[in-house]
Amino acid sequence: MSLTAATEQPFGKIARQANKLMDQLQKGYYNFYPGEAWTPNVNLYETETAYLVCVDLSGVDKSKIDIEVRNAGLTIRGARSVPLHESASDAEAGREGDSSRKIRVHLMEIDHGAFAREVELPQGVPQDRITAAYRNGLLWIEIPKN
Amino acid sequence: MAESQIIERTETATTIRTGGNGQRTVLPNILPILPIRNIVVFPGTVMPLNVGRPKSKALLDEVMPGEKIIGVCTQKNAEVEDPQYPDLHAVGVACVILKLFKLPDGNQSIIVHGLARFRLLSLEQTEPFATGRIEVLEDTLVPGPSLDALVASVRQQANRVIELSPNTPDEAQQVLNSITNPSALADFLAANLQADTIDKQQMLEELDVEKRLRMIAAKLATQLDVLELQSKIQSQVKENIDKSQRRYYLQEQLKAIRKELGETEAGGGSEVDVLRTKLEAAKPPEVVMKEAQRELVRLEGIPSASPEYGVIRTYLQILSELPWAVETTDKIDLPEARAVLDRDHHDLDKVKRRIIEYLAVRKLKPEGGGAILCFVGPPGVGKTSLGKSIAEAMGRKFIRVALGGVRDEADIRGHRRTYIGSMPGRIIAELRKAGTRNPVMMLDEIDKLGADFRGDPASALLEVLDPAQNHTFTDHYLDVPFDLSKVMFIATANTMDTVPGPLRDRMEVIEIPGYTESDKLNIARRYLVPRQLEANGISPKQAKFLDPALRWIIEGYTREAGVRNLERNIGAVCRAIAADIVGGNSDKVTVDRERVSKVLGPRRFEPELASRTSVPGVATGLAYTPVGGEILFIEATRFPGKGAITLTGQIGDVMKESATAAFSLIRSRAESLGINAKLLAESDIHIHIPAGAIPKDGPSAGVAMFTALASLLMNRPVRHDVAMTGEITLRGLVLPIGGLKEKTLAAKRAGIKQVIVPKRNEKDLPDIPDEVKSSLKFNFVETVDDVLAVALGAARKSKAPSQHN
Repeated sequence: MSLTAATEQPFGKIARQANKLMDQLQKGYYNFYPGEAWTPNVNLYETETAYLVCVDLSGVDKSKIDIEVRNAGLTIRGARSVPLHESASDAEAGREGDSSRKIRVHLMEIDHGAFAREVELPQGVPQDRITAAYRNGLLWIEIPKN
Repeated sequence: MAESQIIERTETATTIRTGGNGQRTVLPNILPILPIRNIVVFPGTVMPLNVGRPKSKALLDEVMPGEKIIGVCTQKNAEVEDPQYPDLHAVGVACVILKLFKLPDGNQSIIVHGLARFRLLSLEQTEPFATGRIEVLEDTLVPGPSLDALVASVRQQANRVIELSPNTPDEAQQVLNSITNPSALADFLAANLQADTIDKQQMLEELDVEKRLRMIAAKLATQLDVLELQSKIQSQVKENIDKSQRRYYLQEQLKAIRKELGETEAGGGSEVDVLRTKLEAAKPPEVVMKEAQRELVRLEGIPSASPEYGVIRTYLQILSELPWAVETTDKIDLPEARAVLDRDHHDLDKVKRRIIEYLAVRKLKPEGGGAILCFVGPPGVGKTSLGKSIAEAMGRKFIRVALGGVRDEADIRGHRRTYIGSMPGRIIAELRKAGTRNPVMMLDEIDKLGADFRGDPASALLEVLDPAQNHTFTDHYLDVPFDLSKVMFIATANTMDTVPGPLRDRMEVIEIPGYTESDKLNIARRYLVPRQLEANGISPKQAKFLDPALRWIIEGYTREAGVRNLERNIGAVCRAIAADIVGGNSDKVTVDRERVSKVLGPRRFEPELASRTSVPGVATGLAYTPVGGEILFIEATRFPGKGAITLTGQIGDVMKESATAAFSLIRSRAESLGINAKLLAESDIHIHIPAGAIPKDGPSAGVAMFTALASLLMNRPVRHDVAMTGEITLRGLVLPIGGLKEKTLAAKRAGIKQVIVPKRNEKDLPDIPDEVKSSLKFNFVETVDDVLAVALGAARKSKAPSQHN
């Protein structure tokens, strides 16, 4: 079973959806996000025994990640708050009193806010044996083959 | 279900739920307000905003980092730098800032995500940036079939717009179709519509989703119209480009293929080159060559598939095939020419002499212009074959152009090249076929040219037949002059009456009269019998025609000026001989009178004079028709009436007048002729000329009509062997007539013994064949009294005026 074969795509449409924002904006097209503001990027691997989904979710609090398996779809949801340096966090907390530690933002490119990503699963994967692990900002989801 | 739902309102904040997964967001009731210009943010959409004003920067510094919510309000007037409450539209959108970029020009750009509509109640502070008290607004949505229909129609319109807009990213359609909520759909479309800021703000402020959708539908409809028009124009343009590109591509391929095949490289150029070589070889005059060069250049520039290409190519081909410089050499050997003419034609001495003269002139002055002869004579006398003999005698090519029935000027002079399928006229076409510029060209049956609204071919012929003009004869198709002066034109006609004067004037008319019986006998012996034997596969040894047999055919089976029927009857006899020989009945046949009678049946023509003219009131006239002379019976009868006159027998105006003149003459001379005036006054007269189906005209029957009337009223029959011709005047004079030879020939054929001829026609006597002179008695008369003296005979002496009454 090969992913390159056009006739059998175990994960269905896996087109990358994120970060086209700038392209779209340049074309004068304003996208519409009803709820989630961004979509994390995904790598997808296949080994002898399993499919491996790797989701780029750096800086996301592990407890805020929600994985849902429904029908043939794997949905990853969650939210990422704007990443702040520890000193800034302090400043945030005591902003009123200490204006010298206040920070100014010059760039903010990292996606934040609520996100959702859906990955289609091949037919007949044992849904109960899917496992997930969060390491170094990456969420690894292992889907064993039969 | 609205996309954003208010869950809870408190003194300080409003909690809303957004998105499919029900994420909760808390909106404080006092928000930092970011004024924006020329853009309207809608809930749910992601939009870039430029941040340049100091107050806006201060606002950003305050709210960032973090996920603070700001309120975005559009300014009423884009030019106000520091907007106060009245300068802002009261309805704005609460947003979160997603991203922040630095632009190359040092300005900052933020990307905001709209969350919910709010109404700006008041501004709480204006320094260092504005904050305002807000009230979160909620859509009103009444679900129902009309809303569903509206949503479906808007979605369809929007899909079409996306399809037609070249710049819209692919996922737009995907997003569009994934939005199920009507309010969200409206906001998404409102943000992406091409509309004025004012219009968009109105859409933002409209809380009734259905109304908002209607506004959007209207905008979409206009946009769709524009786009569809654009797309139509574009596809048309594209189609044109595709076509010409395709043609170019194929032509290039064709060139490459030609090159591979070893043909000349320059595409259609090879054909142009061939034409050019041909044209140069034809050696046309300079004027023509110039025109041809111009057309050649045009031809090179036109793709060979164009219809114009074919037109020009045909034109150049015709130009190159015309005999501009090709000439046959005249062989001018007078004795030999005479021999050829004598071989082919019996007698016709006058004609042959004229041709010999023409040749002699050509010998002395080779560059002289062409002569234009016109042979006039009845059918079957050999006019056409004479033309052939002339061509042979001179060693020229012979072309025959039949003009009978031609009624379109274009037949002579061609069509202009503007017309599809235009062709040169017959003159040029025949010259091209002949391939020489000095043929003998026979214009056959020139008297049968027609004329109608399309033009008058006779007038077109004027140019052709004028030796002073025809060296620059210009065919409409060629549009360049062609020299016809080397052509020898020979026209033929049965009668000159229908040939227009100017045309007649240009030709030298040579009359070929009908043949006498002895001529016919000679012709039959020398030409017709050998020809018919040959045609029927009988050798001269197998059949022999005796002279009495031929004379019998001539007298009993034909009555014509020419020899066409004679030949046909000889042919019939020959076929019968062929049947006999093949049937084995005999192998050598001698044709005598009995055999002729057996084959051809009873004789067809009988002398009918005696029976016809044995009663008073019938006279025999002589007429001249295009097919030779004829005898003509004039019948007159009388019945009680009031002195009126009736004329019948298809007679023309001139003949009618002639009859009236005859009648008046009779009445004026009644006394001297011994006619009872009372009888005249109490009688109606009817004059009829039999063979009522044949039109007759002309004044020459005047004498005959006078004689018939006199005979009737004097009750004395006309001598049955007398025929007469001549025009009468009211003074009783007899005027001369034309065609005497034909008339007397006809009289002889009909078995007449005496003819009454006007005195002034005596000069024509030398033209009358001896054969006729010897068998007819000619009475030359000056007045009608002389006529009556001959026609009614000696009995005129009896002058008893009322004896018949």
